[in-house]
Amino acid sequence: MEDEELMNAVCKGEHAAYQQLVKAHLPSISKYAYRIMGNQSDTNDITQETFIKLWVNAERWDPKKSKLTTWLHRITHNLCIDHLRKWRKNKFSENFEEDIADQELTRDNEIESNELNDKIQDLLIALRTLPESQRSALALCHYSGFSNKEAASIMNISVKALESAISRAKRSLRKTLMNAPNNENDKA
Amino acid sequence: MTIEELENIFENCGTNPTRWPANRKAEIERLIALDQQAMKLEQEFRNLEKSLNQLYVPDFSELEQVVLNQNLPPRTDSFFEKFLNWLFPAGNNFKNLWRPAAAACIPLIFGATLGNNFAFGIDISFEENEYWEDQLIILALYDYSEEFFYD
Repeated sequence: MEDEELMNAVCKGEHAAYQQLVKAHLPSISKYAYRIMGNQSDTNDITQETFIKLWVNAERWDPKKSKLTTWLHRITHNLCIDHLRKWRKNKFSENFEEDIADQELTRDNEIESNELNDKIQDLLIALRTLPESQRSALALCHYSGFSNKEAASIMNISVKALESAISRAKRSLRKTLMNAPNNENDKA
Repeated sequence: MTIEELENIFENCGTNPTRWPANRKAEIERLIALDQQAMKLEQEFRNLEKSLNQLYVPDFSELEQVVLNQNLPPRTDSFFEKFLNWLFPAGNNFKNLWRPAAAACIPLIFGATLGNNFAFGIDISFEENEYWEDQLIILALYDYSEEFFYD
């Protein structure tokens, strides 16, 4: 069923339609939330809240104005920002060390993994220190595949402001990669 | 196209040609093919994107069950909730501004109707004789001698 049909069914209180929507959209929503929040605990809370809002506010979605995925990402973005401001979270993830351990587990080659670990650690640190607007812009455009116009709509900013945010983010991350240990060794 | 413009496009749109502005795509491809600096720039951005894609994101398959099993609030929209949704529809739509404006006028209309039809113990009727008595008192208090001084 199309999203519009499913949402009409949710408006009537059909749980089966709601479950289909959860299965279809949860992966993208949870990954987006994780890229902003940086830890699984907050990601779980925000994802749950997003889908509760979908259930409660289903009739407020207008298919003529935006796609359902855009609407859901907007909800998630607003929840993430509220969460970050409310709890005044450090830009570093609370479970930063857990993130690093997760990165290491994915490496098969031990020799390669040491160089990659330094590079990934540096990149992760740089990513976590970005302002949430830049993290969000990067997550929407690079990872989620939204166009600049859709991403700007999700973040409720102009396209110019979005492009500025994503430019600054990439500039900062490029600088980190240029200064990464294996790059410095190559130059030497 | 300059290298700075190319860098700007890579920052805003990435290295995926499907995301480049359609009217500049041919220009970008030509520059990358011919200019060493442009090629190096593209490689830098590809490396960045490759590194970003290597960052680990956990699998949220367990979360799906949690979300599916969570208790959802009841979806019984009361008349009041339906009225509020009608009064303040979603989206910034100036065409629907008349709804809250009309709602804001209701107390005014109510007050005017009430005031027109109910006196609430205030008696504004009067005897004609009382009116003339008041007029005579006011005339008596008037100082006619002022006219002799201000000619």
